[in-house]
Amino acid sequence: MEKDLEKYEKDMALVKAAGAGDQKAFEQIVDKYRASVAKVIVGMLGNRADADDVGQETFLRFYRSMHQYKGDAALGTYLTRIAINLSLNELKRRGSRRWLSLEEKHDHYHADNRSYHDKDNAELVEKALAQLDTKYRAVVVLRIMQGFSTKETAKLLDLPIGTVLSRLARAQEKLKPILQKLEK
Amino acid sequence: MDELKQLLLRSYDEPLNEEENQRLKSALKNLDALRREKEEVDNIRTKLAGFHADFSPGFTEKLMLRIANETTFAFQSVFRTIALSGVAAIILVLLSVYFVDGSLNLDSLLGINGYAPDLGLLSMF
Repeated sequence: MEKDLEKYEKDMALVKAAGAGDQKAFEQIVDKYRASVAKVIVGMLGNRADADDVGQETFLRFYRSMHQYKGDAALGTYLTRIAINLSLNELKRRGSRRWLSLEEKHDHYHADNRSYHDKDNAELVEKALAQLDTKYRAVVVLRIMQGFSTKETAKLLDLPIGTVLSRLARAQEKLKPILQKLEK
Repeated sequence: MDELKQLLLRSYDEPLNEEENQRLKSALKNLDALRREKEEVDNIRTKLAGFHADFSPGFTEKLMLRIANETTFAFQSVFRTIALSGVAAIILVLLSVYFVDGSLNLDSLLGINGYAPDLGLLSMF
């Protein structure tokens, strides 16, 4: 709890400094939250090139509206809200367009420094998530992958808690055969 | 069994009441199929929770560059707006001087066109 408070105060100080024009402070915010924002966006979109664009837009939106952030929600939650909304918009925009092929995504895996085990798991999860409907993917990303509570997930997606719970159960039922098939 | 499966899935995302907890515990103790189900759900959730992602290298630098450009652009537009308003004000002043005095010479601009100094007053010195 104390750690949360300390983190919150540090974030507020960074936001205040960034709002006053300190670009180093904003850069610190980006470095602190880019991985968690990436997890949401890549989980939702899969496609790395698009994910970078949506990630840039997420932080730019925050930069432009920083004066509106009063600290009612944790900074991570606030950024996640922007990221999930932009990802959902992007998916709507894409319409029926499918994800990029795995070969194209594979190039990006070479660019980072994660272990092979992580890369294998990431590929597996991305492929499995790609086969889920957007509505199931969103609850899985926020609740299971990001660790938001069911209540927070419901709030972020503007859904009743009961809907989140039933979508989570359905999503896991759907993921079971998908993952089994992919692991073979 | 279906009901117990739903209860099991719900237990991951919502606290169960005492009675539901007891029911699930005893079902897990007695039913192999439910235990297998739990293992599978644990496996799925571990895989999902272990997912890590990041943006491409250079993401932050590119973003900061965009922000710097945006800030410069915003400053330039404010400056342009102020400069244009200033130029418009100057033109209006010049036009009004021209229409009042019929000329744009220095005396007109200084507002002393047609002013005749009192030479008598000067001769006192």
